[in-house]
Amino acid sequence: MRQEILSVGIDLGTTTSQVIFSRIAIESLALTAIPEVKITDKTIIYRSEIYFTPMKNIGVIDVEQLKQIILAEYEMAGIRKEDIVTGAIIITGETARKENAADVLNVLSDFAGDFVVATAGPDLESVLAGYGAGAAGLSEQLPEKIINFDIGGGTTNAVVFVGGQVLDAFALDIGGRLICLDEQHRITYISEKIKALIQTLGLVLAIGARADLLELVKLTDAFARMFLQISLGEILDEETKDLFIEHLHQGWQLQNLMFSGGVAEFIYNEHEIKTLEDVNLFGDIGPLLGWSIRKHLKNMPLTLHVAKEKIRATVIGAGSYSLHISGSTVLFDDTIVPLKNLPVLKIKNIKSMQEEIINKRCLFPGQMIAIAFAGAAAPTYFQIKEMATAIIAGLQGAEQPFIVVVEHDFAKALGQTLQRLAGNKSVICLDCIKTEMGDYIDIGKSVANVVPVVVKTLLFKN
Amino acid sequence: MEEFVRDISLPEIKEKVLVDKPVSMENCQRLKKTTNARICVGRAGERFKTETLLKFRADHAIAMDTVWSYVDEKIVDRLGFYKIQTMVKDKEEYIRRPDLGRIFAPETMQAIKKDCIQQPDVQIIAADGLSAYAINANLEDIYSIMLDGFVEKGYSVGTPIFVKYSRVATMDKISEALGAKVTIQFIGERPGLATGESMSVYMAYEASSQKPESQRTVVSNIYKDGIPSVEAGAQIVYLTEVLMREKKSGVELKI
Amino acid sequence: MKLKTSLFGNVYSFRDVKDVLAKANEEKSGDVLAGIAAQNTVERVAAKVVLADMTLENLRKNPVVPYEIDDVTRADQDALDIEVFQKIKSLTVGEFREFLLSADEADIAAIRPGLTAEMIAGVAKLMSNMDLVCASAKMHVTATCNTTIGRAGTLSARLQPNHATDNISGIMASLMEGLSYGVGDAVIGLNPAVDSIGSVAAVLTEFKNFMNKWKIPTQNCVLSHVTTQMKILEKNAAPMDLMFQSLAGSEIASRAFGINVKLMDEAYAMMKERKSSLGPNFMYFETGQGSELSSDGHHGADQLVMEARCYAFAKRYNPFLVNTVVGFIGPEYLYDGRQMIRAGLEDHFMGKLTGLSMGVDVCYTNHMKADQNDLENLAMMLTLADCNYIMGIPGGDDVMLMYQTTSYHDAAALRKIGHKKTIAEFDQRMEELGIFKNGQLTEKAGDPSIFMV
Repeated sequence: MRQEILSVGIDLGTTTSQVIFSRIAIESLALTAIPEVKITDKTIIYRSEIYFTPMKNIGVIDVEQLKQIILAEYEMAGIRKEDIVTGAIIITGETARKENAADVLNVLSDFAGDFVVATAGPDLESVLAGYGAGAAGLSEQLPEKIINFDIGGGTTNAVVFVGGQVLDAFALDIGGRLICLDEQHRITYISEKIKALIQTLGLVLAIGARADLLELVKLTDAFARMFLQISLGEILDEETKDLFIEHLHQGWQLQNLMFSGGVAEFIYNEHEIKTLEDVNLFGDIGPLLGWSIRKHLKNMPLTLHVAKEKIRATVIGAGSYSLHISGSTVLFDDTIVPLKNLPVLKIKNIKSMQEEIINKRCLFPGQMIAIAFAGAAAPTYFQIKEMATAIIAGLQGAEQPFIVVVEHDFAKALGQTLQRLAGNKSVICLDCIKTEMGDYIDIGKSVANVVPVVVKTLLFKN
Repeated sequence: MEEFVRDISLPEIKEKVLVDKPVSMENCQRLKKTTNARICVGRAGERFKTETLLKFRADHAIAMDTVWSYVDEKIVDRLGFYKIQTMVKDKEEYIRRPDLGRIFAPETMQAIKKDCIQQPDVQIIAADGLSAYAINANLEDIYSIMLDGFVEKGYSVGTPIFVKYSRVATMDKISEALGAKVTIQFIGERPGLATGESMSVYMAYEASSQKPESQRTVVSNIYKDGIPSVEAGAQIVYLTEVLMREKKSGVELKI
Repeated sequence: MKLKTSLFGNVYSFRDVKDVLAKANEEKSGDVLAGIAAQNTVERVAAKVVLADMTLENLRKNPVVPYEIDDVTRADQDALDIEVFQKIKSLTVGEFREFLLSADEADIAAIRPGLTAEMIAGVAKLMSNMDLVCASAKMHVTATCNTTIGRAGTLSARLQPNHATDNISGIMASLMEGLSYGVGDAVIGLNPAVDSIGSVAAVLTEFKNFMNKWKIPTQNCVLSHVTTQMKILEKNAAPMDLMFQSLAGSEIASRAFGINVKLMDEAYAMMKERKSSLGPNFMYFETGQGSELSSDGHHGADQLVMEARCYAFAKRYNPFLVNTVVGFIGPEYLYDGRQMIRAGLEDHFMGKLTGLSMGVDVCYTNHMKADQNDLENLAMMLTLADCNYIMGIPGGDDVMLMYQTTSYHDAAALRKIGHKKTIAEFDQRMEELGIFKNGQLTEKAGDPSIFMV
């Protein structure tokens, strides 16, 4: 049995914003009365044009105009928001740091569809871009690790994959729009983030002045060298370290690399730069940064792979790769979903589950929480009853349904037992979902006996 | 001091890459993760390495032994199962004569009718099948969670019956004798290498020897590395509700 | 026709030809289960004596399933070359045995068109194990798909990269391991866990891509039901070098497999039109003693003669590969290693005598009284018998079908001790890849990661 669901991805970036719709196929193989359910296919059915992200003034996103853009795209695609089952809005790069970013997400999340999640966080963005670019898929075939750099207007999001798994994710304040130029090639904007670097390099770049090509090249060459140093696992100097957002990388030595994002177009094409006219195609230094990277990659011990998607990598990642599905024997209650932004209370030691729930519950005052743990691979019925008793005792007095998310395959057993022991309370118990403390989850309506779940992981946060 | 030679029955033994000087050890390890087939085992000339050979022999030995072993009757007694036997006399005959493993002597049929609860909503049967170890390992957990589930749903549960030397079809005979609505049979599966504990569950609505095999709804691969017995039990409680509601089972039922 | 004899003062009489054939069969638990086997050892020999005295014409005129009610009987009888049959019809089965043991290869090939399944099964019943090996070893049947199998001096292998859930990466991992042992010249053929068009087409395509990328001269196949493969051909969903189907020896038993002669005729015609392979032989069949009894389609005949009828059915489609899956069906048909070995030698002999490119899946299940040593014994005997091909699976353990068959190692070892090679083009390619040197495994062999660059 095959079911298809519609997913939307919306990316609000530093420079550009876009929308895609994809069709996700969930296939259920019922060889026995316990079906095997998996996501078998993801097809992008509609891609919007690429819009400049509408700004009211510096630092404030124009929500009304964004709504208009999105509304128009739904219409163009012929898709009603009621038909959207899942998806993600991701606010990326410098945009995420705008004053009203949180408001924008909340407004748009409801606007885009019932079960569309809003996410932010540079590491998650890195991972989604890596999926969208095709680096994750390629890494399953490659003998060695691969890094994908998604270079946007304001930031670069990097992820390292090996065998389809994420090994590291991080972000940098490097982008094509950190310096903007007007039609006369005068500098109109220099990002605060790189002022220190400009000073260290001793570059002559000032707002209002006509840009000097050689000075710009010195800057983009410096960025290009940073990408190489990161890829080769070399020790980084302080200027480079300062450009990392929130945390440093793990420092793997890599053999394969890939680029996505708007700047990537100029890494893979043959656009030559001899004059400022060649640079100033979009009022920024994006083409020059691409050219610098292309130049520096020559003769390096790194294999460059072509990304499946470049400027659309992040939006496709958001639209197609944010969804997980539960195991096929679970307990769900479609009357109380969708549930959004449930904080995860992760149990460290299952033996002290009751105490842990009681102690950690107060971290989320007034919030509905999801209890999560790994559990044993094949628990006995006695252990199941112990878990259920501990959860009931731990959540005593809490005005919320039992929401439990476990890793191993025993959710239906635990869910039924919870229901039995707790009387008439509503229970959602899902398995085959891995979460960590600090994660938030969204739970949707069941499809083909499995439940769609989005885990919003703030990856590698310390 | 008493020391042990390493235990080659442990699953991690199978995860080792034994290829001498591979082009890429990392890649061999990655390949192994994609399948439980016995790859990357290396070789001694054209033959297996000693550990590969012994591991194979051990895995076959446990599979052979489970076929020729008996269910631990202490377990079925403790859980209160009523014990009967098919027309088969011994293991050898059980293996050679599947036809006899599907039927009961007339006296046995009469005894069932006399001693067991009539017309239950749910009739539970445990059968040794081709793996005694499967019943020993899984029966207690799966039976207990199902029993609690059925009681909570308000179903009447029949006398649980253990059948020695049994094939799947005995469930039809018992169902007919007792007039059960839903009949559920646990049975030991034909073992694969090293998977001596795998159990299947067959269930049918008004199971009957007049109906084709396709009357049965089945859950298989129940063991600690497959579907945990408690989870299978929970799924069967759920399926029983579906069977009771729809009054049908097997291919006729869309789950 | 005489149906009676006496031995040691006792009279042994038989009901009809079918009864003689059944009781003359070497002991098989399946014939006992069917209630048609000899009551004791002397009765078995008595039946062989009576059988030895029957003519080939007697056997032709008494097919175990009547012509009128069975499409397999019709396929066999209608294919008979009457002229050739006239020359041999008066031979007794005993004389026919001696002919096969003393004649040369060309003489045997010449009389093949005059044989029916009952004659072939009959003579097999009179042969000892070594007789079966001797006769088989001089019958070489070649067939050509992308490459040519069955030439003297070769022992080929099917690469069987089965996976519990048809995970493509897992399948390809087993494939790489197999090729690194020089296995796969007969076919790269998967038994699918999931018989769906999408999944089967994806595996076929993946195999073909790998064969192209590494220039491996062989054929691809996924052993799904023939109707699934026909749908793939219809939709042009994947390249298919070989088309597969399991066969049974009667119309009723075929029904249990969801086929009949008419359907197979259609499948063959469609494959001829749309296949991706080059040569005139593009079908692959599997059989196995006992399947007719298990589906109640044996018509009171023994499992050996029913098996011979499968080969008559197969012959109609000039297959590239046919193999019996000898120990898969279980101990109620072949009880132990001894019965499994006997059946393997019989089936191989009968297939060859029918004129098929015959291989054997030398295998056993865990509820049989058999082990690895029995499997290896039969595999070595079949190598002596010049069997066309065997299976090759990682570590001898099929993690999908849950039985044991010959390993990649076994295929390599049998080539070495039997002084055999793989098919010439394949052998050449293995040399280029550095896996073989002069037909033997090199240092590099046995490492699947050589295919991950």
